[in-house]
Amino acid sequence: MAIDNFLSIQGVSKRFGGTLAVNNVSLDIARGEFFSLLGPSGCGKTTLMRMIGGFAMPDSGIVAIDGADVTALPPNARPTNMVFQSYAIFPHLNIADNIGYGLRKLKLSAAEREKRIAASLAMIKLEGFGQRRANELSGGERQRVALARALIMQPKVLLLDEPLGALDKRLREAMQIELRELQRRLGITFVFVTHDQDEALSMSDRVGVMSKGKLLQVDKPKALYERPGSREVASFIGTMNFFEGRVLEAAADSLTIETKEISRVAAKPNGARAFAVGDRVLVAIRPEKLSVSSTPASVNSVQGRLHAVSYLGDHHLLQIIVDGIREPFIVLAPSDGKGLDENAMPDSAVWVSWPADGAIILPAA
Amino acid sequence: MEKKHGGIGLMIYAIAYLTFLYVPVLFLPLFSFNDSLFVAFPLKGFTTKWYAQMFEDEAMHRAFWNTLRVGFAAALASTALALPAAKALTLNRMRGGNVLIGFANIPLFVPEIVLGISLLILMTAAKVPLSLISVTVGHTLFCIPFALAVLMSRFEGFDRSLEEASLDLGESGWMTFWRVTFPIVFPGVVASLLLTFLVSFDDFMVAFFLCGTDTTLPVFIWGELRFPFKLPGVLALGAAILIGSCILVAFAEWVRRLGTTGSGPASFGHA
Ligand SMILES: Nc1ncnc2c1ncn2[C@@H]1O[C@H](COP(=O)(O)OP(=O)(O)OP(=O)(O)O)[C@@H](O)[C@H]1O
Ligand SMILES: [Mg+2]
Repeated sequence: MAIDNFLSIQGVSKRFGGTLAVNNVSLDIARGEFFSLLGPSGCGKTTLMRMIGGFAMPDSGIVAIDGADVTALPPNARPTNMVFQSYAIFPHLNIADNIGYGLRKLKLSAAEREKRIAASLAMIKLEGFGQRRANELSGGERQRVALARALIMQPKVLLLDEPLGALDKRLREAMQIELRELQRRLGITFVFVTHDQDEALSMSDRVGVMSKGKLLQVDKPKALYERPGSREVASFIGTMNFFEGRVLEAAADSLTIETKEISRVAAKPNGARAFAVGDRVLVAIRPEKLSVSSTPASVNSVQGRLHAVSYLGDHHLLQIIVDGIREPFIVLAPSDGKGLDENAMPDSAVWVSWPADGAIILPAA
Repeated sequence: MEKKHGGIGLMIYAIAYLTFLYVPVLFLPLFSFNDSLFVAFPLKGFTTKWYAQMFEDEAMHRAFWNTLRVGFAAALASTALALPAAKALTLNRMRGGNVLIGFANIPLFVPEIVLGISLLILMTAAKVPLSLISVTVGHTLFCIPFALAVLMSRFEGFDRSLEEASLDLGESGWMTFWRVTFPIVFPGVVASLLLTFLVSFDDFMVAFFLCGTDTTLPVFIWGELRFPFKLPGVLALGAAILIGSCILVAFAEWVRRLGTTGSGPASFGHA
């Protein structure tokens, strides 16, 4: 998908008293894209989304949708609709009137209104629920009503603020698939806020990772996982082992890194970033790129002590303590016994190793 | 054992308290049915003639009608003024809200006689003739703190995102108020109307200073007390007001609580 700027956010900032909730964020989202904003609690996701919806005014910057500057428009004049985290179903109206709430302005005939509401109820598979009240629905059903009430307005951009946060795990996973399927079918641009990285990675075309008001990186899910651009992103997306070092030799397709604990680490430069001899770097390795054996491997091996083993079905999660490195190495080893002797005891000496292209080299902060 | 003992002590205290509070009030209906001009034991016999006598009194009719009109107007005015204030103070967390609440509550703490005299001076200075209008203005001022308290308690726990959702779905702020906010706080509005009506209905002091020749019921009663032979009739009127007030208060409290318990929706105001 070509990245055009259907929804364009340019240099947007928002301050609340002493906190800079959103710090100079620029972002372009394509028409029909499923875009997720991912970040820890309090990083400014909701604030950024509220500025797209018109519920908050940016202190500076521009929000444009489909070529029109909407920065100064109130929510009722924007081609956006929102699914609120609390769902905000009107308690004094039944489900049909909730879904049809926004249709009043369109001055439809009663029959047309009924027809659209019925179609909407069918879309969310709640036919026959029209006369019920919100408190007579389950959490998942309410979530769908909130979705239908927003979608009936045919918005150019649908904003969803942690819409699945209140659901239990099973229902959440089912709704993830339903939502994604619905979005593909309707072709509406979705901006989806979540702090659940699995949710963001599995549903989205692209993900923007936020931290402390800043947008750190925007990328496709696979790229974010395989080529995080900073330690913050790398540690927020999945599990990562880190240690620091210094570049000893730098060639076009290989790096040698010297570390205190492991004499020499062979690595490949990844991404567009170039390193020079002497640069301080951070070596980041995914748990599944590490392997464990009782003898050292030919490259990138370090000796440690097996600290803990937990069984995860088809994998074992191992914690290995290496002298001088604060955090134990986390290793994900297949349970078929290839990686590790089945009877390895805690405290036994083991070797942890990884291939030269298994590590991600980041600039040290 | 000891716990039970404490329980009995508390029970005795509660009974004594309620007796002290309500027995004097119960003398009112009791003597209103007593077939004697004198309010004294022993009771003479049962009669309803005092009620009949009172309800045929033309002056009483006029005073009652005046009180109703002032009560309706003051209830409407104070509730209408308090509604946006209560919303601003709770939903929008207005800056300096506590100061505003403090000022609005002043009429509760100023002695009524002081309030009455100040209003009288104000009306005279402003050349407002003393009439039902001046009473209504005084009562509105006096009723606002009550309306504010009832409405604010209704606004507590109102989910702001309901209003945002309405704006998001294309409605203006004004239509959002009528289609979402007002129906949801409607029970509070009814409770406020009932309560402020009662506060106005029962007020003597402010009405006494401001009513001029248009007497309200409490002022009328005060005037009647000069004539000893009218005392039983006044008791009959008092008893009727007492029972009416109790019913209205109970109803107001019931309405105020509608839809606030649990997640049940308010059963009012289908927009
Ligand atoms: N109306 C407000 N007034 C003052 N501070 C606010 C307001 N709204 C948000 N903040 C602050 O701005 C920061 C970002 O808040 P925001 O709600 O955008 O975070 P979030 O990423 O959505 O978090 P969560 O995942 O917990 O919902 C927080 O520090 C928050 O305390
Ligand atoms: Mg949030």
